Amino acid sequence: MTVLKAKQLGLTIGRSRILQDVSLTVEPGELVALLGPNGAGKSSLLKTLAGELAFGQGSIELFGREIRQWKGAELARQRAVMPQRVDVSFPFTTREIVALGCSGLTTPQCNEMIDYLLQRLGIGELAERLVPTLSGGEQQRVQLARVLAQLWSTSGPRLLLLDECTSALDPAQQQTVFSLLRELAKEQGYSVVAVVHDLNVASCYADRLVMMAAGRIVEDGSATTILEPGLLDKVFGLKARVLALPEGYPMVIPQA
Amino acid sequence: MRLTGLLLAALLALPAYAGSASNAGAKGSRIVSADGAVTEILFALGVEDRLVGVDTTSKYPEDVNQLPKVGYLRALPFEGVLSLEPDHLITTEEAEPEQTLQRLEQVGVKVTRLPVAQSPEQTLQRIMAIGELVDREEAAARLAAELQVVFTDIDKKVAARGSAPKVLLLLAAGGHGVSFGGSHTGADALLKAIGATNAVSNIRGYKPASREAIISANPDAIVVAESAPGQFRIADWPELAQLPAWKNGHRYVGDSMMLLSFGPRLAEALVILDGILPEAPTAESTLASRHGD
Amino acid sequence: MATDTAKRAPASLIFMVLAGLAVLAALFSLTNGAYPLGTSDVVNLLLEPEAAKPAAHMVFFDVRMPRLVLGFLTGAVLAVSGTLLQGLFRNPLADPGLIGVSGGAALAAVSVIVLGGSWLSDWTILTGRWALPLAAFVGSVLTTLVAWRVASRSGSIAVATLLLAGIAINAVAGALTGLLTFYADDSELRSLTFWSMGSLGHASWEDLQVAGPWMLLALLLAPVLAKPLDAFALGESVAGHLGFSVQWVKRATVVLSALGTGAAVAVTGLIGFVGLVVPHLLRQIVGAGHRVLIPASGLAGGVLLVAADSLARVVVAPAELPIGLMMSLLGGPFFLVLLMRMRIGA
Repeated sequence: MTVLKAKQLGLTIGRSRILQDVSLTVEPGELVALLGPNGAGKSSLLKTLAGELAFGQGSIELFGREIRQWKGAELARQRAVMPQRVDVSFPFTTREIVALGCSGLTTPQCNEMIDYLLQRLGIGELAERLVPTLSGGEQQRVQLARVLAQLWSTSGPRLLLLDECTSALDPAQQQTVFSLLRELAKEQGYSVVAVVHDLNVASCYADRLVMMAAGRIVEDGSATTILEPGLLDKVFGLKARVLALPEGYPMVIPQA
Repeated sequence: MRLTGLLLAALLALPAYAGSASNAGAKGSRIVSADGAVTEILFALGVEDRLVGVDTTSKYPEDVNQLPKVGYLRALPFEGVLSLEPDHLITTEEAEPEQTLQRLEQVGVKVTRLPVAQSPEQTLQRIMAIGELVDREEAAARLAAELQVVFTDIDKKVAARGSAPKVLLLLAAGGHGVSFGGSHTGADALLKAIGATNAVSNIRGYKPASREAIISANPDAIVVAESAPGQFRIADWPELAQLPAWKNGHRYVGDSMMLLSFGPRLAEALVILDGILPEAPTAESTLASRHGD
Repeated sequence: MATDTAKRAPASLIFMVLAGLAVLAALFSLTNGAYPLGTSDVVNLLLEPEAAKPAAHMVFFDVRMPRLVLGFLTGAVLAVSGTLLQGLFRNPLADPGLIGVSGGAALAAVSVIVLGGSWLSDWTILTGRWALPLAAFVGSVLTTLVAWRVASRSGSIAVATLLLAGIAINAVAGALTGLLTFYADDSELRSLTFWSMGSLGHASWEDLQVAGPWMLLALLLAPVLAKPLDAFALGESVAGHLGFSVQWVKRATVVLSALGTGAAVAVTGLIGFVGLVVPHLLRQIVGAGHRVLIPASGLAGGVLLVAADSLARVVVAPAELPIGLMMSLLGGPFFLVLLMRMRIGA
């Protein structure tokens, strides 16, 4: 079953057209990276797919059902969303925040899962710390753990919508996170749609790259077809060489 | 004028006199008084030894400060009043809350709510009523008669004057600013009792006084009622000081409870106020204002 | 590292301590007051109610008892409403006053005090002894409704707009109250001043019969909002993504706090600080999780108000300090010290 099927989406806010004729399909086990310059509409597309923004034209189907037909609590068991930025307004501990994703689990089960997730994300020692006192990168991983916890005990198709989930992380931490995401996609059948800024991260981990510009999808395909000097120049204005690595994916090298 | 002075002296001595006369048959029911004027009358009738508590509006005479205070008469606490084990609570129709009064009656405290007095006649009626309540009819009658003499004297003077001078009454309470005593107030009633018209009768109730309005009121005489001595400082009110009435000595600054509570000191208040009114009000004020131009 | 770890006592210990304090406060409140009715008298009174003096009987059963219950409920409902609204607005400075509850109640109460004999005479005749509390209740719920209408657009509520609307409505209600105050005569002025300082001194079983059910309703339903409000701490959209019905949470929070606080304010007058200080303080002790925070705030608010009320009737006996005054007098400096200590710690 197709996890996500968006057809000819159009979104207008005020007088500005944010999205035009956007169609996107995501299958189970696929990790899709959304690319594009700032203002291309990546975050807006993600929010629209998350049901946060009401779209004017087109349709969105999640797990074979129209998005408006889903009940919030039902959908929350199969689809989790990580916004670009989450501010925790009160002194909650890491454990309390991640536990918000727990549903249908006993407290010991929930705690076990939280400890495992924090461990995997490299913040195992932060479980009892107050989230507002953590660094930006730590907080980002706490949120990621919460999002993963939300779908952890679900079986069947699951969808993660992630908006720049590693923007505050160093390269090693970024690697940890995307390795985990790819593992979840390959071994558990998660579908992941992630807005990614780093072209090489996208190239390395994603199954498919979707390039956006000015509210439209410009190209949708494998890393080799998308990461092409001509397209990069046209979309980003980026002068770069693209190197085919022996690992099987291309690498973008900006020119000085 | 000399006669009035004598009367005044007699009046001031009255509480002591009445007190010594009445100690004989005092059968001690315990009284709580929740009204300044009622308290003054109880003292004047010589039953102060039966008072076990008063409210915060009771500030005169001096001895009253030794009694426990049960708070403000509009917020009487049931337990507080009851803890003084009174047989009788004497207060006015202004007392609140209703529930406290009802409960006190339920547990056997006699509660008397007197009408609010706002004229010399009502003051006398109130004295007589309290006299009856505390078995001091004779002392009450004597006090009322003394006051009546003064009231009659004042009435005569008012009739002789023929015209009604315009008087401005200001209330200084709380240390900041003063209020006009407008219509429907004790201040207005007091001015009526001395045959004067209220210079700010177009204002209803007590309202903050503006400097401009003080100047335009241009009264024939000025009365300032202070809630505590020294609360009013003329230096803060230059526009008042430059009014002809103030400059010519047609002014009085004094205790607001004496002036406005319509208790036994009403006679004193009327005599003082009558004393500051100009002899020929209209002529003088016209002259003065022309002088000012 | 260890210093940053949240130091928290286990919830069960907190609840035991609070319950203990509640019992102590209740005992203190029942055995202290202007009337000489101490512990031994109370014991005798309970053992042999018939033998007691009617005055003592009334002081205990009709004055101190309803006062204790009303004080506890009011403190609890104010603190819980504060907790709910702070959670909804994601702001530790929110309190029931912010959505217009107290402003509306004050305007309605002052209207009855000042205009009860003239323009509103129909109302006072119709409602009799309940004219003021009923008006205050209606006023608080109505202003909240107005704030709600202003902030709602096509079925959804903008929380920030609700907050701003509350502030604006409070300003208007405050101005109208001021206007009425200006036209009030001396005696009305004193009445409304006393109302605005709050009091439990006139509590009766009738008050409780009328206001109690609303307060209990708010208190009993509030824990339902614990988990959704935890999610709200991450923002409205995240709460939605977690599967909570965001509109429902907002509606339930506002309705519960308006009903509960409105009922409390109606019979006690304005009592500030409980709704602000208690949740804030408790959050430092039990943490921000609403599952523990809501009931703990309720207990602590009740204890605090009962204790403050007991003091209020003892310190200037036989007179009584208004409880609202007492609260601000104690709460204000305490809060300042707390803030200063937090700044030094940070």
